[in-house]
Amino acid sequence: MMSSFMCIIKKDFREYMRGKKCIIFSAALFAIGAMVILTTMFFPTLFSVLAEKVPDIISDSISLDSIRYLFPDNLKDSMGMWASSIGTFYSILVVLMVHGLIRKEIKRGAWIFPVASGYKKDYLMLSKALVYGLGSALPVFIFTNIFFFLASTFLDNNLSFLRALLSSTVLAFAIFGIATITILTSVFFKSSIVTALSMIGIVMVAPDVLSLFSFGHYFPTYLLTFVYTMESDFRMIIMPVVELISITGIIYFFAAKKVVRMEISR
Amino acid sequence: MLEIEEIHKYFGENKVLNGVSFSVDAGQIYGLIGKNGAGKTTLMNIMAGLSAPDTGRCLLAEHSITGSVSGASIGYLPDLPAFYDYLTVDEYIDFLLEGKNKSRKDNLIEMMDLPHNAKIATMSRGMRQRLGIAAAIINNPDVVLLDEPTSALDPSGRADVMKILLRLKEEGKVIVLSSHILADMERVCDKVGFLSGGTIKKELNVEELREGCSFVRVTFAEEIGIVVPIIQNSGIPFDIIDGHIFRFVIDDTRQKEDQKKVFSFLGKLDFQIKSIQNESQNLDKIFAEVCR
Repeated sequence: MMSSFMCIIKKDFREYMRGKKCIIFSAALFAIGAMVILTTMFFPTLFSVLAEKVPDIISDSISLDSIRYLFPDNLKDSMGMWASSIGTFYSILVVLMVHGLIRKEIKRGAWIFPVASGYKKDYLMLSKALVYGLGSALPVFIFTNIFFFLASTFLDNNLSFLRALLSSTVLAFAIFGIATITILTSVFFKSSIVTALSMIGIVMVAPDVLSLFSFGHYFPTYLLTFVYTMESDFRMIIMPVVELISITGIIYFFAAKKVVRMEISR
Repeated sequence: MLEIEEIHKYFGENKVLNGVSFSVDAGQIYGLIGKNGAGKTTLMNIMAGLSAPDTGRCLLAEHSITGSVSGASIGYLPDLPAFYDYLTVDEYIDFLLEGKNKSRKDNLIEMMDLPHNAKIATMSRGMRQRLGIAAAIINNPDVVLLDEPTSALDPSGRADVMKILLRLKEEGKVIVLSSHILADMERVCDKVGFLSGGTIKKELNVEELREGCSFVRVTFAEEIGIVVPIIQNSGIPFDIIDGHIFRFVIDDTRQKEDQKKVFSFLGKLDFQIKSIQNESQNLDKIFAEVCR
């Protein structure tokens, strides 16, 4: 049984590597990293030049504090900005790229031969969720640490490597959760775009809305808020982590039931 | 032996299959013939266990295999087989065999004359079809179902597929084949069934078709339903094509006697005849009549 599952994992890993998704994810992270670093480096300078040369354009209402907030000059805030950019842009890209994986395969009849040769439908689904979950999370982990080292060379270093490492793990774990839940829930709907839009809505809105309430940090979306704000008390994320694992497990349970009953003919 | 018993299938209000029944022996090829939308693919999907019938069942060696998609010793080639195009032939077959049985993998690749390291995405339609057949028989099934295996193939590709089918037949497999290319059906099938209106309208032993019989097709000027009992009493085998078109069967071994019998019978009838034609039998003609 394990060997059968490992064969599917191997096949999906090849799909991930050869389907260029690995390159797309890395390119997106590179672009986000470059955007954050370049704006952090150049915009404050550009802003002060503009304030001097064309003071009419730069109004008094834009204070120096808000500039500092937008373009932080220290590592901790810059890492927070990187994380919120990942949570905003990268997670949308991930959702859009993985939401139709299973539906498309079933629709074009690609499951017929594997299932007829003995593979289980729920294994085919689980493998896809795990490979693409890891495939979208691992680049986040790697690029977050690269960002940390790069940014630490020119910004005020007020963040330890260990904290950065833990934060990158939390961020990658949140992205893993977003990708796997998107893939698993896509089997419940005839059109997987419903899943994609719901996930994008949750990821975009929930961290901000729930941070307004005291109970907000009990929800799994607090994982994103946690890394956006570069909180240091990692005990606060124990509950959201446990919840995210449990929710993913429950969704897998029902998705597996659903996918086993699904007709896979074209 | 594969037995299909009274299969019914609805899609919403639309009744696609309305009590389909037939049987195929081991080492036989059964051809399913029908127009587009006649329900051939639906029936194939049901037999393959990919779709459930509303009622009815499929029996293999008297055991029900209805709805059992794997492990039921059935191999299925869909009309448009889909693969993981990013894999090579070797990797795909290896995946279907779960990484085991390397000799089976090599045998299949050799049998289907496939290139080991070619990426599936780059393969021609004919090669993909051969890969599909390899995938369908990967577990050495007793029953092989092939939906339009020769469609969109060039003559040499079709000939290759036909050769493979005959080889599978020699191995004693039950083969059910659907195709629009009736010449191929005549070449390889032992029996054909015409699927029309949700049922098998006519079944024909192709062996008999090949042995040969011809027809005298008579068109009367008016409908002559009244004369049917008289023809029946004459003992001459016949088909009613239309209310005013009758077809008398002429056995090639006693052609002269049969023709004489038909013409003397027609001479006795008091109905105006519009035309009389000699006709040989082939699947195209039968298809045109049965699946009108």
